Amino acid sequence: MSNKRPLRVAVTAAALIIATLLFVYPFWWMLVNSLNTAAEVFGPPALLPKSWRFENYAEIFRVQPFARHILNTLLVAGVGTIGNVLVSALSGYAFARLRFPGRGFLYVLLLTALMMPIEVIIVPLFFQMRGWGLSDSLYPLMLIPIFGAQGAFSAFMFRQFFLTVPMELEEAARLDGLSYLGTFRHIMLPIAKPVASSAAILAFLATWNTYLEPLVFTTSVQQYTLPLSLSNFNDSYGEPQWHLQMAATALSIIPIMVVYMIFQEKVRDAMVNSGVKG
Amino acid sequence: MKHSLTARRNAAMEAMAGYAFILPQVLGFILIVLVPLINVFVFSLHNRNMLFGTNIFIGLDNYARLLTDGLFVQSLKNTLVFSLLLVPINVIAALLMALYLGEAGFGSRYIRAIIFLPVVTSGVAWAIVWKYLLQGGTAGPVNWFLAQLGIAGPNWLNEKGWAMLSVVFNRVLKNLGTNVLIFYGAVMNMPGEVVEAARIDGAHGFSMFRWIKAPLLMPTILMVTIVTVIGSMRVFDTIKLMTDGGPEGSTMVMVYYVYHKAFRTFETGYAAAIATVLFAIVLTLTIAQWVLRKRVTHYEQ
Amino acid sequence: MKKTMAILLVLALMLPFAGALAAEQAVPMTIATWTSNENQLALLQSFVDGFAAHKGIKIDAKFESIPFAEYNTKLLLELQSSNPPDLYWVLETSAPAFIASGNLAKLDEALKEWEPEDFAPASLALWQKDGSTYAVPFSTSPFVLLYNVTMFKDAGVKTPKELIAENNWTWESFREIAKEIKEKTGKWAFQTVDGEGYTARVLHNLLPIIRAMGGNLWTADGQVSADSDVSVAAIKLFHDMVYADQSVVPPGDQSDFYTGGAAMTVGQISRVSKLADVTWEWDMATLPGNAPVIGQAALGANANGKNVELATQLLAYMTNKDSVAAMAGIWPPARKSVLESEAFLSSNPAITPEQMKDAVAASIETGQVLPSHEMYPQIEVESRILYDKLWNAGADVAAVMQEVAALYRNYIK
Repeated sequence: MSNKRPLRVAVTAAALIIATLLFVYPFWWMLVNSLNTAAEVFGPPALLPKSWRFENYAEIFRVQPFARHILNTLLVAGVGTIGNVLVSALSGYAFARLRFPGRGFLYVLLLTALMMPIEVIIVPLFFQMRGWGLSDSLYPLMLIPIFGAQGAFSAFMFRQFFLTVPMELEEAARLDGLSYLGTFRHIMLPIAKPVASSAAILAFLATWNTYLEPLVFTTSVQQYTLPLSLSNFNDSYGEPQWHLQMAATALSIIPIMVVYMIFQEKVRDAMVNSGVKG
Repeated sequence: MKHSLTARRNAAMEAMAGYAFILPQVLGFILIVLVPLINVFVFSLHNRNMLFGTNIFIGLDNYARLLTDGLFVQSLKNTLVFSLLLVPINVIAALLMALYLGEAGFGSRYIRAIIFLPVVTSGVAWAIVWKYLLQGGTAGPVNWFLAQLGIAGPNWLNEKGWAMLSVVFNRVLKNLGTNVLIFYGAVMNMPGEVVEAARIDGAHGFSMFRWIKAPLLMPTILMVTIVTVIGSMRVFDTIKLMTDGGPEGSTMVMVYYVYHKAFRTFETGYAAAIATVLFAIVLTLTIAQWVLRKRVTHYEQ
Repeated sequence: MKKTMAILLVLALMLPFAGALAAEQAVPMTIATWTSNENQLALLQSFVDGFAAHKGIKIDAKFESIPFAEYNTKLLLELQSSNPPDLYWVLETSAPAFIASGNLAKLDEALKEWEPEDFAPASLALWQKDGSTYAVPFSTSPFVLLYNVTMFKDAGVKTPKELIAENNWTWESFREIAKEIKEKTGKWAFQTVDGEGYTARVLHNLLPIIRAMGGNLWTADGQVSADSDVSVAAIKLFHDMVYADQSVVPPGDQSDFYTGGAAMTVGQISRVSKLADVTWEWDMATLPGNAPVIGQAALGANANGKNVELATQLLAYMTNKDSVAAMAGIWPPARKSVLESEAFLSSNPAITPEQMKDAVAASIETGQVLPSHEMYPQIEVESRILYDKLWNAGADVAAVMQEVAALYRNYIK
């Protein structure tokens, strides 16, 4: 047994080092270079910034309407997330607990949205949004997470949850004279908080990070969201400004990282659920 | 009599409430998903060009063109290669890490935390950083690091073969965390007495995995594999930002080809035909998954 | 009470009229550009104000900045939208496609007011079809060589200026000095145009060499010569610089001239602004071989806009002599009167009159635009895949160019 000990230590050490290099170093590199000048980004990688140029973080707001991009992203992610949770909680509850003709068919139909990559329908969807007068606006970016695959997935999670809730709760509420909406609002929604938070985390991450949709549905630089904005840190003719791009990237990641650090377990639970989605 | 009338009225009320509750979602679904999906097919039967404003019904001509379009065939192959590389690497690496974490060795909490960092990061940010790290020559940090070990690294994103591997690698790192945690959950849920009994019977290391753990984990492995396959069909931001489909079209995958045709050369009808093929593939995989899931749950019970 | 009602009624009746009046007072005009530079937009706004004063109307101009990287795609999506731009910048590579597709309004009538004959005929060729003009270049900007004089001095290598004085400024001598710099300093001697010479700007990168050696890719009358011996020899020269001499920043390496990572690069005068803060000395020269490539950008009017006539008049005003003169320091002019003026030579504070004359004005005179075609979007996408095959050490340049030429011949007849 004892001769295996050093081997074990070596394996553990190697695993820790490799994992750190692969999963932490890229972020570290990004932070370091967000504080370098453009010229200092080049050359052998260093562990610390050379000139500690904090102005980079001010400059990104001059190169692009970056504050506007942050606001846009917050708005899209906020509306998209709230809409997603409300709409899917309602339908998830109905599909689980209320009996009505066509329920099974409609539910299966809705689930087809789950497997519908947005890439498949993006072309006609673009023409449709244009027809509704929504081109170059943020509305499509809010509508898609509510009603597209992300919405269907939230509905699926809510339904699975409501199926496990004992009937007695609801019956008691109904006997107390609560309406269907009242029952949902005062009894069922409060107990579904864990699912709601999972659905909200997933919807928020998805909308915060989405790239293809803003690429297609927004045109002018004022309407950009963060991922699109990051890929656009070039000078006016397309050459990347690495130091600014890194500062902007860092700034866009930091809020997400902070949220993740605080709610680690919750976020991981939510993501693990998403992995087994249908 | 009176009772059944009330019951009927109640049933009607319940149905009304049910329809009202699902109305927003179903209506939105029809408008945002179903109508465009039908339109994808309709578009694919037309010669549509956004630039020239053409829109002529041409039947299945776009599909016939697919067969002779070298780049489409290549994109189909690339998608296949991408999935065939990504899925095994991802699943095996995730499984190994989960087994390692399951031993609760030193630093496993730390690893569980950090492998999730890329998962919550946007694919765009992850691709931008890695594009720089993977520069060719000795300019990029990855090659600089390899040079310290005496290895001359390739021009990762600009050489055929390496470019595809780099993109796969990027995606694996980005999404590994999710699969690790799913496997980790399954590992922790393995019946301890079975594993313990096997250990007493002399099973260790690989034999333990092969005969005891692998069968127990099989349902999870199957599910994760298929979900990863479907996810791998959708790689867009990584490709667009890291390789732009190059070099020599070696990383041009189907989703990116759809985008290219629709929004670079403006052939929206033809792009819709490619999207239809993509849809058929995803649909097949999804059905396979549902069938498999049914069997697996059956087996589990 | 009745009185109040009556007043309200009168007011209500006047409302639509007041609305119409207000609309007449300020005509909305949306202008799509790929610049988001405040000074440049302010300059364009001043032209709009000048035109409004000239016409005695009010114009409410809205500038829509579409990032360059996705410009064509986004512009086209915008033209399809319910609220399309009235005026927009057009990239040279999309000129034939945009003209053929009917997205650009005819400008002949509007241009008459402002001496259209003042434009150098060659500069308008790309933007005309069947005798009509569809867009007016506001920028006719040659690609020039920018170089780091300090690095040349440190290496003790002859500068392009010295070679020009010796009358020995060819791509062969360019290759020599590049090689010397690499050998003596260990640094990259040359970065391709914006570092995109292997990808998005492969034509900008290769065409000056090809044309200097007497070749071409294709011509306006449909002759494809991408696989001719001279064209192949030219590309081989560049290929050797990258892989044999290793003096050029290779594909996949992000080293950059403007941050001191390479001794020379190719760029337009708009890039000079990036050199404002550098600590080293720089200069500019014409490209070797005297076959400069010109990049054009034009202003066009949306043929399907809400107010086409006014848009074309505004366009004509924005490209009249005074406007062109005002823009000349950023966007070199296509109007002969401005190009020949003394004022043009000192129009950009960062560029000396001498540089402006010897490098910029000289290149505008002899320069040619990139070849173009109605099917350029398709050609670009498909040919990029073939050009990629050039970028490895063992590439068979002649074979690759035969494939490229075959592809060109599919489209260009």
